Amino acid sequence: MRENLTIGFIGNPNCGKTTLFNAYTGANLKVANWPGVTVEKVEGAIKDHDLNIRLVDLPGTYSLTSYTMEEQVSRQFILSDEVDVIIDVADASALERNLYLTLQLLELGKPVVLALNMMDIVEKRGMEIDTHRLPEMLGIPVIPVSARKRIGLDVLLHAAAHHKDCKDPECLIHHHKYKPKHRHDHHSEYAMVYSDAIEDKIDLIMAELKRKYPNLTNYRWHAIKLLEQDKEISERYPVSLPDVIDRNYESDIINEKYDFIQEIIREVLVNKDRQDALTEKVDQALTHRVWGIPIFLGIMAVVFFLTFTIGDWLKGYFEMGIESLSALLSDGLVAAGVNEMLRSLLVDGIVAGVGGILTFLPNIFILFLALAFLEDSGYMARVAYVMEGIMSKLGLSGRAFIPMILGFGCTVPAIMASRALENRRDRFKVMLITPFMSCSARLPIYILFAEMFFQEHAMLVAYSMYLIGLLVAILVAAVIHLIDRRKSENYLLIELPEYKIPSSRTVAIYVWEKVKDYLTKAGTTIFVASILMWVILNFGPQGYTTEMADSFGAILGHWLVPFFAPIGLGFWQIAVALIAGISAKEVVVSSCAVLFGVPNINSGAGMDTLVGILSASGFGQLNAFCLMVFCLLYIPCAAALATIRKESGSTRWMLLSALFQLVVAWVVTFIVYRIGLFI
Amino acid sequence: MLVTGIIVLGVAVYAVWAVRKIRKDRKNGSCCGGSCSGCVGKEYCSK
Repeated sequence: MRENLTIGFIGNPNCGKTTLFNAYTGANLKVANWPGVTVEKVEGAIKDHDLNIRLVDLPGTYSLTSYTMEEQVSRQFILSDEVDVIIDVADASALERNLYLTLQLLELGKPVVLALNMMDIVEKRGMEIDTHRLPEMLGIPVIPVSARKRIGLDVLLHAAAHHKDCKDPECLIHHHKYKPKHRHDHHSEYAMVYSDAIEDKIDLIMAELKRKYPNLTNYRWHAIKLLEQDKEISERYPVSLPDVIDRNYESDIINEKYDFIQEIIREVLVNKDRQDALTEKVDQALTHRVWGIPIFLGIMAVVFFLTFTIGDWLKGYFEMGIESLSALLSDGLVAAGVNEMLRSLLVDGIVAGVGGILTFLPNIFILFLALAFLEDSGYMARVAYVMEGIMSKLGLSGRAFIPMILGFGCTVPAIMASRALENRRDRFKVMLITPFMSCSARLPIYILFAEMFFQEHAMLVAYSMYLIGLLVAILVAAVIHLIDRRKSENYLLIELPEYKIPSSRTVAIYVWEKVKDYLTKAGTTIFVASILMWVILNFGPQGYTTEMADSFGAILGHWLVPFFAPIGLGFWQIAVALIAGISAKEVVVSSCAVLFGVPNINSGAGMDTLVGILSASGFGQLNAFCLMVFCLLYIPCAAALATIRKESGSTRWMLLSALFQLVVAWVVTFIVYRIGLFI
Repeated sequence: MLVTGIIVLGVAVYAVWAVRKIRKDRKNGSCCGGSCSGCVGKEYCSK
């Protein structure tokens, strides 16, 4: 019978931990939140070495203090009985920076295996790491791996499986070649030994802890935390030793750890100064004080260009498929003698609605592929650095721009990313402005209306939506900052990883997750919304009707027209589509297909038909532009609203947020419409 | 008639499944774009 083993993966951000984790688990992930907090928890399961292995991906962190939720969650998990072995993933090309976390992990007293990742980069730079001396100095197995090239993965897992029972000092293979300088000689017991003064204090605190808390484990770690005046440990295990803990020793302990790290680096790392010259050269351009932002806008324009051109080319095949399916279904249903009402539901409701959304899959695919490429290449971290100047003028740190960038993909993970901001006020500010960033769900609306009304300028018009969203977000943040002048306490401290060729596996898994989610949304939310839309448009006070103008939908739409008329959207069908779009933004497009009775709305013929219908009602270019602006800015979709509620912990905040966005959307669209009429 | 009945049943069953999936996702948290917010402990977002 197989035994169970739980392995926790931990490491600094950008050390390749996720790539390594994905290499083991593939796309077989489960995502949840750690209990009681909003930090994401990712788990996978594999079978190896006659073991059922549960892999848990802990949040990327530089240390294990108790300042942030990520650190607290990681620390609690490691200390719990849930985990058997920790795999500490370190970027071997930046070993000095990564070893601080390693030393903290060793003090936790759980079995640790150090995975030296990115060894291919180390080799490329001509650096060498003495992988025999390093385990001697740390007292744990050290396994060189390259997650990207899938080298060393089996060896790493083998080491973890065999190291799981190594908690006793006998398992440490550690000896200095130097005679110990200290009176205390713990070098055969612990990798990290402090100066005599600190070790004396640790001994005294340990004695007191043993007396007061006889059931506690790992006295040494608790003693070190008490010396650091760690908030959580000080509250849970107070001791009265005012002469010993006479001040905060955190900086002393940190400094001594870094002294030891320097000793390690001197002994194990050869040719450490060979930095990646290419990264430096590229960064001179991409993070330039003046050109950094225009380059960022240019890169986003390229992303958009690819989304439109390649995406549209692939979209053509999807359109043909949906058109054929629609015709086949219609003919088949007629031949089978199916009731006309049911035929209308299937063809004009479900196929038109869901099919209309599915044809945009290629554009969505290209957009997420490009974003994944930028993320994995290391460029996205530069954007936060580049935007630091603007963000600090808005009272925020450059780190606040990271959720905003994520908003280009989807508002849900973008709002979740605001957790990285330690300041609660900044988190709420970012949650308020992030939905203005144009998410991928709005892309079908832009593509449809821009291509219908702006033809050769379609791409430019659609790209302008992204710029308008960014501009509105910045303006709103500026206004909030003018009202609330308190500056953000979050100073930007961000690691800029080396540029690298994105891992095809990481990108593929990332894009597949997004595509799967899009298809799931089409098959659930869009499907249900299409049926509901069909029902309200084909049933009225007199029952089933083929005249849409007599339907419940038309009645509702006409009620809403006075609200939308001043902003150029005084058409009842558009009003109904916008209300439906609150369930999911793509529903605006699928609703138009049902509302205007255009089955294959994305085909050339479908668009011509729709343009004809709209133009006949007086809906022109300006109205189309206003519609896109309103869709960009108004109430986010139901999933985003639920996320805002969860992350803010307040239904009131969610409702205020939604109302705020509606008001901003209306005002901005009003201004655009009036300027358009004037021109 | 038989064909109509089968189609209606099929659409109804699928619609019920879709609504239950939407509610399950919302209950566990909110999922979109490959990320989920709010799932706790054993209640995993469907991936």
